[in-house]
Amino acid sequence: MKLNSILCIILTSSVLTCCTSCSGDRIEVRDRSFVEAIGIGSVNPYKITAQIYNKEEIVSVDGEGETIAAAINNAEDNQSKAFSIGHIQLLVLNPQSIENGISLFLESNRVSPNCLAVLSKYDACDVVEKIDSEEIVRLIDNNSRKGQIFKKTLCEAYDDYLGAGRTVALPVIIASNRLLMGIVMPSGTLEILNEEETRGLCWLNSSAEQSIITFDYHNKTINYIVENCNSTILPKIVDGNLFLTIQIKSKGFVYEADEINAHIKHSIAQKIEKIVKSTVEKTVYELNADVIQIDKYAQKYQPKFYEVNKDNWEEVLENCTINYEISVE
Amino acid sequence: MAKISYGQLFSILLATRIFSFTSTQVEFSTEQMLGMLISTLIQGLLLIPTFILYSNPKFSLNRDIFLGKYSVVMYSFCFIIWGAHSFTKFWNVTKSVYIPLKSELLVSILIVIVCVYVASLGLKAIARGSAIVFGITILSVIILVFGAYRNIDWLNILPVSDYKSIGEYALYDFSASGEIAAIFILLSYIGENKIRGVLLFLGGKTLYILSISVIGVVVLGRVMGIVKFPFFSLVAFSQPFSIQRADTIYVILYTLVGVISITIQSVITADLLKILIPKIKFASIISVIIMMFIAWGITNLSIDLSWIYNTLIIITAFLIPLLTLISQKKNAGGVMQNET
Repeated sequence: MKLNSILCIILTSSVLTCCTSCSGDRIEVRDRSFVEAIGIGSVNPYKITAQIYNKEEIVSVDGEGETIAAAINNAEDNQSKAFSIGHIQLLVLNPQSIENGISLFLESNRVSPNCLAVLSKYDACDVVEKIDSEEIVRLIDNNSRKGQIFKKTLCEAYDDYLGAGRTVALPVIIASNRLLMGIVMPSGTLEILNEEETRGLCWLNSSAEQSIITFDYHNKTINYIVENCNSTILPKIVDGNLFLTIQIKSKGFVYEADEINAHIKHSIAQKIEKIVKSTVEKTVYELNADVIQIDKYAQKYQPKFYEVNKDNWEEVLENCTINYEISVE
Repeated sequence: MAKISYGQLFSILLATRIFSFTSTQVEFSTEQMLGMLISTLIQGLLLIPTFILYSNPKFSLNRDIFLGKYSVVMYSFCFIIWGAHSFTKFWNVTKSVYIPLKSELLVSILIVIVCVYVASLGLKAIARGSAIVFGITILSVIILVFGAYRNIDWLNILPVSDYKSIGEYALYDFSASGEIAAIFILLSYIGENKIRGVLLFLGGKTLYILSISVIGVVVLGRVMGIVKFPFFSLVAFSQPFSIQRADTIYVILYTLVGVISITIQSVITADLLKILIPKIKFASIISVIIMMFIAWGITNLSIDLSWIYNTLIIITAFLIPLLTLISQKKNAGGVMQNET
């Protein structure tokens, strides 16, 4: 009983001194800089800009180093407080820094899991220095909610990168208030999709909810508001090549009509097919980029074909045939 | 002897298995899940002699165990090694997962103090504590599912591509299931429904590992291949809030199941040491300290002891109970012959 009491006292005092701010090596909240966003700019050497949480104005600090971690360390040294990057909500990347940038944060296990990855047409460091990261996050959320782009977390972006095609589709900052989708090719070049191709990519990734499709019907412009959309790909092997059927199911309503008749449904389906086709033409056939998870569908439903061809995925995409089945409710 | 209920046995065993599962560096996959199912089936079969022995109300562990004190030595050795193994797992995880203490030594010292304290309270206290930990486990799974559902991509569940690896995963799961060695001893502390507690545990651990593995696969996808500790990466990417992180609940859970895993080994070892050396004092404290030193040796010498664990599990969970059962049958046959 006496031993228990002694142990209990030791334990309580240990917890109070070691697990709270009483011990010498603790850093008080006021001595921390909470990093909201990091922009990874040029490589060799790496240049980063960290945006630090501040209510009144944009506060940023630059760092340079041979690796991204060293650059972040340098940025921390260039101001007076200790960095806290556990709550970072935005990572702005240049196409060349995608692999190192994302893998570093994923492996460190300390970055906020919902941290969004975004590309920039301009220098990523400049973006983080000049634009409030909360504004960018809000813009991404808003555009994503309306099916104009689709947002990706670090984990999702890296999952794409590890695919057979090693291509990543991410939102790209075109201007301070404008986003489109872009594709980082295995060579590190950035291909920015136009507005229609971006919308098509959203449809192909089941992310077109709340988007609006306008089309002419009986000399009237009609608006179809998408409430729900679901896209799947059915892969088959025909004569040694991949034959894909893209199935898109959409549910929504039309402002100008009480119910959607067969003619309207047909017109909407045609319009969706046109949008989606333009994206497939650009991404699959022109760029040979797999940004609609064809590799995952093939791995799941045609595993033998995938195993044999995963190293020549660009060739597979070049030779594949794509069929569309669009249904509208 | 302190008696515990079958529900408490279930929660102790489950906490121990959760600890080894959450410490795993093996990536979750369809093959891993199938391997785990095969391993659990084998474990169930290995436990049959134990079930037969304990279904006989007259069976007494102290009196009837095969080879008497030699077997007790073997069990003590097994639990000390297993406790040391738990310590090494704990250290490995604390090196990679963020725990808000800078010194690893301080983490170890704190854990040892907690283990010594809990072990000194005895089995009953651990049993009660493990029931609370079971509640926290359920809560953590609910939070995990709530945080993960937005990131789920069912496409990530792939068919089996490498049938040979299923055997390797089964072997790995088996060597991580040291708790089945403790079942033969722990059942002697249970009043009623002994076998029900074990069956509940086998079902519960299968359900837990399967559900976490499935969530891990559908959330992490290909990223699973590059992460060091799949469980901790999964919980990091399955947060219910947009910015605020909920990792703490899993770190707390991990610490709690870790403490239960280590202390249960030390408490059983202490009881066994008392059989061997009746006058021994502070047996549980001694056993924790021995475990820590062995763990230190294993970590510093980087020894792979998985084959030793497998052998010890087979000997303690199957061979000794089987030989005890055979010797009991022989004795019963001898008594019958004498009577006739």
